[in-house]
Amino acid sequence: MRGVWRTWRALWAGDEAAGVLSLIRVLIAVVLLADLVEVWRLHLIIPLWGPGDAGGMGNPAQQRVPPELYAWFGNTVAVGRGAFFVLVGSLVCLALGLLAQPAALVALLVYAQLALVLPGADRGIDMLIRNVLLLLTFVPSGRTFGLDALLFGPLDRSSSWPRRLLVLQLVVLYFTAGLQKAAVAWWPWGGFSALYLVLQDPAVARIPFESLRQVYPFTQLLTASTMAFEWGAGLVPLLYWYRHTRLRGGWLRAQFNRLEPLRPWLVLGVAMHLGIAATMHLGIFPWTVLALYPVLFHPDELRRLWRELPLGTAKRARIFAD
Amino acid sequence: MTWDDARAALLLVVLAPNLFASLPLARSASRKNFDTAVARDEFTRLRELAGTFGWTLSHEEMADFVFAAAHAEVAFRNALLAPARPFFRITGTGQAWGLFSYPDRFPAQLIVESRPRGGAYQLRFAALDQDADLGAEKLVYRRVRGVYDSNSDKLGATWDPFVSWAAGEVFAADPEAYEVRVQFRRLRTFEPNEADSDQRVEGTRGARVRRRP
Repeated sequence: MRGVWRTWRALWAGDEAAGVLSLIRVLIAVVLLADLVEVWRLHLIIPLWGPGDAGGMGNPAQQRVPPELYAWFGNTVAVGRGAFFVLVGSLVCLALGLLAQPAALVALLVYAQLALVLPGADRGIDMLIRNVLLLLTFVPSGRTFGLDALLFGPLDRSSSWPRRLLVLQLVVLYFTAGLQKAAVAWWPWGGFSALYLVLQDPAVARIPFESLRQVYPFTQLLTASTMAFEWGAGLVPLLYWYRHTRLRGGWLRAQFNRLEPLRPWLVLGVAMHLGIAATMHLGIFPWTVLALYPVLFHPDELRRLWRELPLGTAKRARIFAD
Repeated sequence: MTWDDARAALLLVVLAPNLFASLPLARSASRKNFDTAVARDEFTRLRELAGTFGWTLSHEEMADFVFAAAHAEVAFRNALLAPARPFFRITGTGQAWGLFSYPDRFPAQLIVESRPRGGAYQLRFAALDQDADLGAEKLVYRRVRGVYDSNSDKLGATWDPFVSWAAGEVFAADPEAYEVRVQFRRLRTFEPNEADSDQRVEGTRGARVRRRP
């Protein structure tokens, strides 16, 4: 039992070069801000989050347990609009890294209230964003690539556990999504027909796929690839473990470290999300998940990748110096 | 106890309910839902599969079996997650990652029609119809789609407010519109080996009418 505890403790210990969580902070804030700008541009603030008598579809005052937002501050249009702009303001602070931890907490609590007002308008991806916001309330991410560095001093190193926790979040997201694909259409005995069916659902398809049957085998291949990718996520922790313990013996460990299956898995993931963005109306879903992909790299790997980018040395040095 | 121990213990407390919440256990169970077209179709395919292994079941037997299992899962899940539920509610966090778990062979297409006083209905919006795209930008936006899509199988509390909002959008865009009708067109999607066409219309549901105030 002590050995198990030591392993668990070691999993969350240690530090690394700061920056990855700061990058996540900026990307997640920008993606959600883009979505909220869309809400504002389409004049949807009140229809989505306003009181029922002003045209709000959620009708918060009539709910069995009214959201605290309306129970405490009154059932008015100003409350719905105010909550929206508080959320936007806190996300701007988060993106800039200005008082990043309190900003993440405010964004989290207000966004959770808006989710209660109209649950149908709140999707799984919004929950994922809130999971990340919750984590960011515990991470001084604004002290790297953020204005908090000017206020509280810059950080060169940060704890490893938040990044590892987000790796686990991605693994859980993909693997349990795969486990839940119980419909026969996702499996060989259902003909791998799932994506063929999904792409003909008018609620999500981006364009009419009228001649989809001509490329049916291709949709079957994509369905099988999706299942392989999602079920493959279950192996990701093992791949990290083998990489972390690469000096230990064992044929399987050696083969995994030689073949590095994490790379093709990542490429498949990026391709899958870009495919979703191109063919389905799922809003910020693909971009939010892709915004989390940097956590799959150790900061040293990201720096190495950065060095390999075809940029001028002087420009790169300038960006790093900034 | 060191800081490393305390952190590991705290993370265990946080991760345990989250990992349990992510398990693919049933979140609700309703025997009536197993008689919908989607469930009947899925059960038919499962019964065919079971039949190849010599296990023959009627629809009712399979539905009763799955319902009993789901009911037990829901009770187990709810009991274990009860202490964490207030936290999940106030933070809006959780772990539920089903994405197209059951591709819909009976998808619903949102239809918005309007007519002038004394005139006939004209199609103003139909999802994926490029000739009827009034208000398409708003109606395909993910949050709005989420509202009406959650009503496509069973009309809920948000359907009437949604219809009123959609009708208001049509009245604002078209001064001639006197009456607006919003409903779902029920489609049936076939695999290439099942029928000659990809889709066919199998009726409508949820029709609601709003008159210009």
